Amino acid sequence: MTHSFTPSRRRFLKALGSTALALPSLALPGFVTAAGANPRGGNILVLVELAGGNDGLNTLIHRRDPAYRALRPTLAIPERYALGLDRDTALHPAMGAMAGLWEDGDLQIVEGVGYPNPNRSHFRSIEIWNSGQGADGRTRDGWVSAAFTEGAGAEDADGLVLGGDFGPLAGEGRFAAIRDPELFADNHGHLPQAGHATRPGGARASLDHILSAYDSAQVTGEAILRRLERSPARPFPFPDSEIGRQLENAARLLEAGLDVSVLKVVQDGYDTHDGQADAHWGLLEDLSDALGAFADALRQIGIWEKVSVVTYSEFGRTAAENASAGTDHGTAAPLFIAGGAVRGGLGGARPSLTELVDGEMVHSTDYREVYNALLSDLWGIDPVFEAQTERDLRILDL
Amino acid sequence: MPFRITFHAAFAAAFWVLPLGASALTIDEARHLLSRTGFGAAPTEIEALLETSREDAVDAILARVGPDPATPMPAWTEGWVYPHDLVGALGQSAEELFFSLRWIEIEELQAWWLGEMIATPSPLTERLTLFWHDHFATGFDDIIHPHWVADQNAFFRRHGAGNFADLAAGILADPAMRVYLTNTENHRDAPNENLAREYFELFTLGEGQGYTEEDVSEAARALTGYGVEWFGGEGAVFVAEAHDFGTKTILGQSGTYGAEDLPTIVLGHPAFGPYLVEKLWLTFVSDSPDPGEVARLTAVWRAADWEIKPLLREMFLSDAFWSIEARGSLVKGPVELIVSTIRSLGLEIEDLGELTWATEDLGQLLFFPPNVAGWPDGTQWINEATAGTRARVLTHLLEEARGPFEPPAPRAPEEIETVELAPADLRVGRAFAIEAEALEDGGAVIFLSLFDMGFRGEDWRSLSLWMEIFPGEDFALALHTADCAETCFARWPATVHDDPGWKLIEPVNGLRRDLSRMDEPDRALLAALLGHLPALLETTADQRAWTGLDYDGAPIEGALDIEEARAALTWLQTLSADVLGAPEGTLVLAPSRPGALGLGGEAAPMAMGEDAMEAYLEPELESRRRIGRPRVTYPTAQDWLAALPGTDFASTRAEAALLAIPLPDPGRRSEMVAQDADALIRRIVLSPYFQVH
Repeated sequence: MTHSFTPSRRRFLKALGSTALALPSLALPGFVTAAGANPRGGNILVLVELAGGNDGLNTLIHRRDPAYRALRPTLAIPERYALGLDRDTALHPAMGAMAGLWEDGDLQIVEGVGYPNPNRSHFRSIEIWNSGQGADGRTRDGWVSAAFTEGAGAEDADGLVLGGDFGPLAGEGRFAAIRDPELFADNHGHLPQAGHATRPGGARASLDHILSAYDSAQVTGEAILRRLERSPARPFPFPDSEIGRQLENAARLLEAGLDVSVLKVVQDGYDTHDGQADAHWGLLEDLSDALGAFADALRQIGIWEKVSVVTYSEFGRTAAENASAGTDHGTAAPLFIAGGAVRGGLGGARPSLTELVDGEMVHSTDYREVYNALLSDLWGIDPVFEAQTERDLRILDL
Repeated sequence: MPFRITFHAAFAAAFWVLPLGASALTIDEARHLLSRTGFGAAPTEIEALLETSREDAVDAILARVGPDPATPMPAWTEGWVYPHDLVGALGQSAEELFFSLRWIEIEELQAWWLGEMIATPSPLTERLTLFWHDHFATGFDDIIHPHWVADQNAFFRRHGAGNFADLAAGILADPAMRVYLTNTENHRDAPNENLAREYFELFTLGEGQGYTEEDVSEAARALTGYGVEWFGGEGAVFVAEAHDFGTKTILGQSGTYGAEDLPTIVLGHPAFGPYLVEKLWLTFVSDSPDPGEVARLTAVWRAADWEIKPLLREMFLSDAFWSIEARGSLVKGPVELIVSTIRSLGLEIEDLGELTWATEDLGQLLFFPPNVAGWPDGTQWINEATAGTRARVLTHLLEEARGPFEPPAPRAPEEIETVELAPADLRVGRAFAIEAEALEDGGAVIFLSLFDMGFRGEDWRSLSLWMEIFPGEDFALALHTADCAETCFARWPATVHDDPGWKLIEPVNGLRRDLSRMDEPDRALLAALLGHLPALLETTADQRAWTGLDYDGAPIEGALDIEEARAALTWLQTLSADVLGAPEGTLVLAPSRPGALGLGGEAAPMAMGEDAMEAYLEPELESRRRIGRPRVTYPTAQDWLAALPGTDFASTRAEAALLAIPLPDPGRRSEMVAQDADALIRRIVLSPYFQVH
């Protein structure tokens, strides 16, 4: 069934006279132009959310483990198709481009990442991943915004969301979203002038949040649009997909010289409760091809060494397949980190498939260890989160 | 007829009198109450409350809540549910056209609802309907009928301020929810916990509040078998074969529970209450629930046996609701922001479809919540990205939304030729050949669905016949009677998988032996159905089933061709004539009502390219355009300004009507801008202060 017919949207755009990157001329407030060099050394983190709960067990394959094939009588990836990384480890056959990154030494796979008392709710578990506060944490602020509290960040923005919600970037800080570059420019033109520094006496928390958001929207938007205006777009080939387009936008912004610390993209569809094999194949192929294209583009731009791309998902899936040739909400899963300066190889530790608890894998590596290692290796930020494992992760070849 | 009121500034100033008595509401209080229980506050609405006490004002607002919208829902919501699962038989073009029309209908429903929010004299009804839509979040998609979406909206209207027990029970019986949370796949052999988990986590107790993983699995068992009727129009259905009739232990209670027991168990649990009270508080009172007050209100609610109206009354009359700290502490959600701007300023919308698009752009497309947890709330709505989008949408409203606009001329209703029917005639709107397969040994499987049919004065949505025929030897016939359950084959035992929708008739000798047990009207109907089978088959000759290709255009192995089908059905016809007698009447091919098929009328050509389809759908869209018009509108910004109550300067009166927290304006007389009413309103509406109430 195909029906992409959405006439009302088209008509509305026509009615608006959709303005393509028409730049409003607004003066930059002094404090932005005076911003100093980026104290975080210019490293860039690209967060890739795999929404829905990726089946780690069929992404990184325990190729010689009989327990794997026993748990997955119909879904197990046949040995002859898997892309072998070493004697015991293989990638899903759709992940050729990421296997290439492994060959280049640009891909680290951290195995068995999760957290104690895993929650099986999509919404709750992604909140836990977003906040970095563990299963009992209650804050809605993201782990990135929580870690970026000290000092000025990158010149243009602390973080930009190119797809999905703010997630790890939610909370106070200079975090903006560009899900559609044309609309971004148009919106910017309608913002009231910045300068809400004067706050009413006894301002409510909500209003305070809004005043800050309006001001920083004005400032960030101005900076981004100026950069894009000055830099001609170079066409890089990307898959024509949700994740492909987001990473293409990311490459475009980085090529334009945008000084930003974190970019966030999303790929949705991993909630494979039934008929998983085909759907999962398509998802991983899309992900792998898009990441491969992103690496190629950044190599051409010359900043692949500065970039670390990290995948994460709210949970892995059940160790055993279900009766509908799918898998349900599970626990620990591997996490992929790619980049020119990334230390290639395996990290963390492989969860046992024979010593399951309540039928599920036990995580070997607390996800907050990954966060701490990223913060430390990329930007020299001291550990922020309390991890309950010690795997001595090293993200970059420092 | 809508009416327009124009006040002159001098008249308004002279007309307005100081409120009498200490209990009368001030302008600020009136705006606060209206904005929190509705969408913004129009000058006339504020004025009407100025001599009222808090109690009277709250009681009047609560009294207006009711199930009937001021604007009727689109006409199609009253009709039969369309043949969603049958239409593929007509081929790909028809299917694409069909589903395009379903999306147009959902867009029409979105536009209707926004229009209702704008026009209603009871905005609290809409706030509550929106609250429950967000709370029991259900997203539309291809497998959910638009009718079910409309029915769910009507359900929230009926019970929005009623008893929560009805909401908690009704949502489990709601076909759209059952599909959305995949309870359709909840089978006793492989329980699916989706609905059970969200029932505790999101709908009733709140995440982690008083239930365990074990309770979730047990509740999932209780919910096995509650699915939907895909081939019939009824929606919700209970499939006994899929239900686990065993004993479950849920929240400490044990029994052979089913879906109808869950609400009682959950509402009887001591942990029930605070989660919902807190959610209502965050919607109506402030961004920081007071635990003591939440406990007190929960007790009030429990004492009222979970009736929502008394809880709301207590909440709206609480000191916290009226406190200065609460004013301006809530962020307006996208729909709230847009509708309240229109209502407060008395604007008009030429095309509510465009407004729908604006709500999508701001992240709140009605009937498409991001997931079952509903939309974000509070300050989550505002960040650098949405700040700009909000500003653009508000600018657009201020520039484009001054009427008067006229709705499109109503289209002439589709003509249906009146056909003279004899009681014994079998009327069929359309026959669908769903499946045709050749079996070994010369057998044939033929699955025909008759949509929109009538016999002996009854009209039925559908009746399907699944037949396995070995001509000259034997046959089995299963009748899907979900749409005529009361009036056809009602006493015939259900024998197919215990599914009450199916009735089985077999085999040849059974036909002869068993028919003595069949009621006469059913015998006559069966004789008519079987007697007209070959003729009905001919009406499907151009359908997909006889192309030998599947839905993806690949050749089907063992496809039955239409000649073989004709032979099989002719044999069955002869057999039927022998046993039951020939049909008494004739076969009449005629629809009973316009639009029953959901294909936009017979005029729509079936083999159309994308461009032709767009050309066909364009006038369809235009004819469904709806205008949005509040009860009172103002032709110009100056008229609106003049209608504001109060004796203050215009700029101060405008701020009092639109803002919970006044703009800081150190050292500058904002009266200067009041010379230009449009500029004054723009300055207030585009300011960040307008984002809260």
